[in-house]
Amino acid sequence: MTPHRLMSLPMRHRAFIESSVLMSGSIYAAKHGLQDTHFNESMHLLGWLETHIGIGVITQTVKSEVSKRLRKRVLELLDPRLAPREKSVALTQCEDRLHDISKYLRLEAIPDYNRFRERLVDVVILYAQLKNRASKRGRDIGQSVHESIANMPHYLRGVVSDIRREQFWKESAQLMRLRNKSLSRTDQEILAEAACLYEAYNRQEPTRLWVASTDTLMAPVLNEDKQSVKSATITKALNERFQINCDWPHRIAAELQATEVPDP
Amino acid sequence: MIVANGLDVSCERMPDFGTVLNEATTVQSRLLSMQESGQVDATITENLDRLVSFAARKEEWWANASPGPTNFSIYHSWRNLRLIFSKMQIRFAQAPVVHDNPVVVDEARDIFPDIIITIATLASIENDPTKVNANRLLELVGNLRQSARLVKMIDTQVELENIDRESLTQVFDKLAADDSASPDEPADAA
Repeated sequence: MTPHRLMSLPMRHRAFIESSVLMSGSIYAAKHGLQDTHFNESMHLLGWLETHIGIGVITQTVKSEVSKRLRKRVLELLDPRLAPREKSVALTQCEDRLHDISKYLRLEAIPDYNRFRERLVDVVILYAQLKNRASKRGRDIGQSVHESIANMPHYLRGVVSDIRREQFWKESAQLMRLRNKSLSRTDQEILAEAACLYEAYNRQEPTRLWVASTDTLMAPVLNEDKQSVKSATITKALNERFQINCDWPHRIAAELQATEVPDP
Repeated sequence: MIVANGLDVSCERMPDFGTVLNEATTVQSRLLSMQESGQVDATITENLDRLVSFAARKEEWWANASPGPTNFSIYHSWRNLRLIFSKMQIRFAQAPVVHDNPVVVDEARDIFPDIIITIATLASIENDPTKVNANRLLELVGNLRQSARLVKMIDTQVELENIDRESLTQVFDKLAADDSASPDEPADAA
């Protein structure tokens, strides 16, 4: 397809469901079957995708990871007050819901394994660079604050220094999470798969790829209102490098609802 | 106390795995014969009845066993096997009335190889209870359950009967709480 032809096509949307969202959605849907609980943030998007078949996508890596995590979590529930029967029913209900949700998400194969490996290397390097930036950032903040108040009258420096310091920390909140935490290898693989899918989709027609995640090592850190973005350094870096839009599921749902999404 | 077919089965003598595997393979070959002949033999419910009883006794035994790393996986497996055998037995018993022939035979045959593999794995894991095997077992049973759901060989509502809903909600809450904490775990710790 020529670039001119690509430009003339309407934008296609795809929502790649990352394991944290599928896991959370399965647990909440299982609980929802028992009592009238409100849908959580993940269910908001998953509920919308159920009525728009073909827009939500997953890969086998995501599906297997969620099953594995569910089993691991249940095995780790060591509370002796929890009877094996309830644990067993909880596991089966969550697995059943995972299976049900997966039915309306398109299971995508990664088309080119060599390209996937290249993208995985890119993801690993990007996170290593960001981690390195995070460890330096603590020192940089002190320096930046110092520089920003250097020309101020002495009586203002104390107050302004506190305000600036808080502002810098707030803006760096997402990046700073990398100082003590790392993205798991499986999640790195999932991001590499998303990057490959973005390329494959856009070879066919212009496509915007959302990656729905509740993991703030991918999705932005939100303010207390759970709507506005507090910090998104990692999210922006992922977008610049791979053109994928990592975000919280309820925010993606709102975007998709506001956009006239053509049928897949 | 587990009650199968109106009897408290916990006090009966537990058959060994060899006997149970024989029972399961008998069911498998009877299913094949029925498929070939196109005739459903209702006496297969007797074989299924024995399998339900065995699974129920194993389930109860493992629910009360002293704590161990593999107990839950084994308990969970027997519980799901019992649910599958029970549903299969009901479907064979009701087949002539609800015109479930010959679909019930085809659908039972679809999942029976996986049932035998699961019983064989349980036999091996009960002899060598390592954690790796326990995880593998949960995966095996999870896949078997999804296959059974697909052919309606498990009643997912029956398992919710007489459940302690408060405890179950507690388990869901714990799973959900752990879920939100999980993405922050360092990769190195995995």
